[in-house]
Amino acid sequence: MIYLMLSYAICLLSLLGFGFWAITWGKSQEKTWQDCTKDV
Amino acid sequence: MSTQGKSPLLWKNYLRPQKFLSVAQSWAPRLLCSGILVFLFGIIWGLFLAPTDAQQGEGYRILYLHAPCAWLALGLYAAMGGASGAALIWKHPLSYTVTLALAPVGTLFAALCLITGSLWGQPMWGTWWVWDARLTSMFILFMLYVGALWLRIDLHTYRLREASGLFYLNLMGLLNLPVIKFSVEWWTTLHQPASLLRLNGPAIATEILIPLLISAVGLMLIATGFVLLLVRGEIYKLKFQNLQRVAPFHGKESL
Repeated sequence: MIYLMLSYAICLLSLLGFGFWAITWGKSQEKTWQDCTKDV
Repeated sequence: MSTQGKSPLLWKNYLRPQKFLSVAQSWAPRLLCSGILVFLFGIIWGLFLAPTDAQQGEGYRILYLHAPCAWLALGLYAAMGGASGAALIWKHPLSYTVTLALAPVGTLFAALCLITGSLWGQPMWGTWWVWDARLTSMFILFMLYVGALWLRIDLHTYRLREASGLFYLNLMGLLNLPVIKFSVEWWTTLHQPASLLRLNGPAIATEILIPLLISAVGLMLIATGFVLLLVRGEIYKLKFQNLQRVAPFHGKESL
């Protein structure tokens, strides 16, 4: 049972963490582009 | 004449990075939200409503994570191979960005497949890992993803000649996919044989199969949402780098 709970915890946390990273990374790329076009 | 020209080529508009950017922007949140709901529905059904397995007891419920993660790891690699082939043939910017976006998502699902498999193997087989054909070929897939993650640095700096190594690696890695699929038939493995995609039909009870397919659809939607989010970021990165090449001394050269 502990292995079952551990796998679900790892999976859900990994998906959450990856989603958070993907969103923040995407936003940072967009911001870099916007800052750059403002200067140009 | 203009309407005749537009109609058959309408789909090509979506291949333009700028157009794809707006599609990704609107579809990524929808796919992620619907994917989370479907996935939660599938795993709640699988955890609390699906019957207990006669041989494995409650431990088999790792299946609802392990199998979809494995399918996604294989499917995403096939997509990455296709995008790499398109990048080599047509040198389309979207194929570069899709290849880059697929690598981290595929790595995540390949890693989750190996981790959940290991956590399933310990109570059922009495070992975390064996070097049998299925586990080894899956590990090779994970290493191919890691290689793709490493080589994508070249594409990020737009050294395209060096980056072609990434595309060739991804294409060669496609050979590993049928090996993973048929490893349980070609060799004697500790891993069980295929129980869903078989000539004789699925070997899984319907009560277990339905939540499995639901959680797989949910994870597929989440993975597609992740890919769209990353493609969007990669397009912005590409636009930024193109602008830097055009105007390298506009005061932001330290970026």
